Amino acid sequence: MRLILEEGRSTLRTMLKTRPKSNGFPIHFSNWKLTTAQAKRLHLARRTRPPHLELITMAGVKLLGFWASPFSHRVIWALKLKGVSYEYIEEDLSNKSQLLIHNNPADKQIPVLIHGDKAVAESLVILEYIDETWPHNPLLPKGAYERATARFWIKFAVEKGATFYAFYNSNTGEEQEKATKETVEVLKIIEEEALGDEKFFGGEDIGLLDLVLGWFAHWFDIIEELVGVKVLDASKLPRLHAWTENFKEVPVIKENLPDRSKLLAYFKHKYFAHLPSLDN
Amino acid sequence: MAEEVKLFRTWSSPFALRIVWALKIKGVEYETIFEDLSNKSPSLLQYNPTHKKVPVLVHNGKPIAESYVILEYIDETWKETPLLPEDPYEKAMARFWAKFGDDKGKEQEEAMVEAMENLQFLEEELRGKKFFGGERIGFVDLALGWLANLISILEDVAGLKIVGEDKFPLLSTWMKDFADSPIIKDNWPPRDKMIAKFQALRDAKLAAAASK
Repeated sequence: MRLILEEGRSTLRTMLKTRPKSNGFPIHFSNWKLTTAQAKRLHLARRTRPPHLELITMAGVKLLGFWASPFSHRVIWALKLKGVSYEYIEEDLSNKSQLLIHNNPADKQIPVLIHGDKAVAESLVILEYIDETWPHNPLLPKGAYERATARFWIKFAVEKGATFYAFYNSNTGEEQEKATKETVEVLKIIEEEALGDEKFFGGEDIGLLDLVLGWFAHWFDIIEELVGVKVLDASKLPRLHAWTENFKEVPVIKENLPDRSKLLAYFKHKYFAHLPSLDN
Repeated sequence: MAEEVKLFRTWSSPFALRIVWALKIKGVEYETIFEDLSNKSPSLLQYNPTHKKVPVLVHNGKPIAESYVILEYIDETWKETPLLPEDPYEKAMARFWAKFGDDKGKEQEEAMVEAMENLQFLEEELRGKKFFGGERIGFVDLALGWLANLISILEDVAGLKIVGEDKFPLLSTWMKDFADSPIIKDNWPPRDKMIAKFQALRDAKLAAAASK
């Protein structure tokens, strides 16, 4: 009943005051005498699409993020999928704002979601918070076992971050070979066991796991370009590759990706900055 | 419906201990299967093919792996004595601190100074509460519980006071309260075995350091 908007709520209040007396049994709305205006407002309240649900968000929503961060984008995608309007605040990670430091003293990392006077940090924790606070268009499945399965693969994807990082950081030919092999193995597992024959990890529609793995669809090929090795291609990983294409076509995702050339420049700068010095 | 609950674990794994506590707190009947990680059973390999690790919970034939995933599954399946709070924000906080405890716990063996800072955060969290979950043991207590045990053992082995009563009054009290709680008390791994294990680890580390 959180889906009743402020307008609907005040209409209902009036209606409850003037409702026909019952002998305790609930009366269907069709028996109530509504004025046309009341009926219109209630109809609108009940039929309104998610974007209007921002009215429930009587407290404001802010997101502290960083334009190049896939973690930041997971939260943006979730908020947009739920039609929650929010204020986006871009953080300069070399000069963190007081707002960030104050709201995430433990980590001082983005993303941080501020909902009214409450601050939530850690992208995965934020995603579950969003799914629970705005329960329409659910990101996690209903059944406990299906949820456990989704969460298992989310943890797997997060843990394997070290493998992808090693791929990004590999310096010598030998390191690169090893890192490439391990990366392919991990991706094969994800393709075979987490995705299977589904269109998305969430099934017919994207879910939490799709958002968590979303960085593969837009950030990973930049890393491949920098490292000079193609791993996620249609011949080696057909289903996973198809997923990256399908994922990027989802309107909310398509409209909320950082500019690729800007991203490439940013990572290029970082990548070459940490390669061993050429002048010894 | 006949419930069949099996838990695959090792005697000392702190991650498995969380599951034991959770099941006992909820009064769920289950069967324990102890694994020898150097000689894993075919069942374990079948139930957790991706990681081949413990703990694994098998509920009516369906396997669930990863200790936090299992905890959340348990909380959602057996509704009595909830571990996680109802309110989404309180839930988010519990999940954040559980993750924090895990991440920082591993580093503690390396950086004492950072450990102190992180313990300070946990000390703050306990303000006005008996347990992290409030009046009762909750999700975060289960998540951090192994830390309480480990710290007390490390203090014995290394002869150092890590969580001093003067610096961390609330945490010290929490460690005692937690360890004395009915279900937790009966489900610690044997202390002498733990001390022996960590003594050996410490000796190995010192030997390695000395030979550098």
